[in-house]
Amino acid sequence: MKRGPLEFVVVEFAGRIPGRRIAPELHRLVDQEIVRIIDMVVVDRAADGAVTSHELREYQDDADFEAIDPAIQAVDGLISERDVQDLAEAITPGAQALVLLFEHRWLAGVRAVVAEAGGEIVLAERIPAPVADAVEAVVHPAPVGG
Amino acid sequence: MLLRRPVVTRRGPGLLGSAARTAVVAGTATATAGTVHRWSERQQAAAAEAQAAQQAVHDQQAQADPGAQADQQAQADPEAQAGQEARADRQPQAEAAARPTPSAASVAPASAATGGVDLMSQLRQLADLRAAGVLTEAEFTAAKAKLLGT
Repeated sequence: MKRGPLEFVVVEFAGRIPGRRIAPELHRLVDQEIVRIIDMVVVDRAADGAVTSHELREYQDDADFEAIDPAIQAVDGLISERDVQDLAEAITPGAQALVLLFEHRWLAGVRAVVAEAGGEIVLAERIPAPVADAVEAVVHPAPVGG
Repeated sequence: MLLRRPVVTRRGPGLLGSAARTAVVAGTATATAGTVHRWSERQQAAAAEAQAAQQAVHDQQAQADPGAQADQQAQADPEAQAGQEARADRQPQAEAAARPTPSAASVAPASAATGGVDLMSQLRQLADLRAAGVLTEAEFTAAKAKLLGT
């Protein structure tokens, strides 16, 4: 199967992962065919920096993970242990994070239409929001004293 | 009840590392510099760019406050830096074989007078050199640290 572009989304919480709170939005993204969620792990980063990961199937009878579960189309191991180690650097020590692997279906659709029209997407790059804000501030500086 | 799913092993090559290596092999690293950096490097570059952009705002408004600047410097994440250096050790060395090794120091002379825009373009050049395989991870890290004065 030909994949669309993939993106890691790492969301951390100070306490347990509130699956029932975030599940509706995940289901919306999937149901509207904006993304597929093709892999998932839970990553703990201990206060001393030690990284451990947990699989979805470890959360039997956990209502929060039961809420998320149907939105996860596959848990196929594309996220490797090396990825987990790399991504864990983003996680605050002492926090737990949900690591989701999104496949951008919307971009696959754009690619198909563009290809049919004789074109090709040569680059699609996401700019992190803080960078966008900083550049925006340079381009449109707030009035002094305003 | 959770859905019944097969047991997975996570022994693959890794998506983040593979993306970086593929760009180098395919020679598309320059065109996509910034796209395929491994996560922490990318995050660091983003932080540096945000910092540089903020610096530019300060310059424009002619209100550069040395105290605030020092604060920004202090916010640079030393852990991400340390992690990156640690990871540089396990980078495949084969990529380095056919590569000239310019002195990292000569690429990025640090200057206290460097403005925000200059800093940003120098960081970009460094990132391009690293992505193109001209600089090793270690050289890149050293040069960037020098550039940022850390």
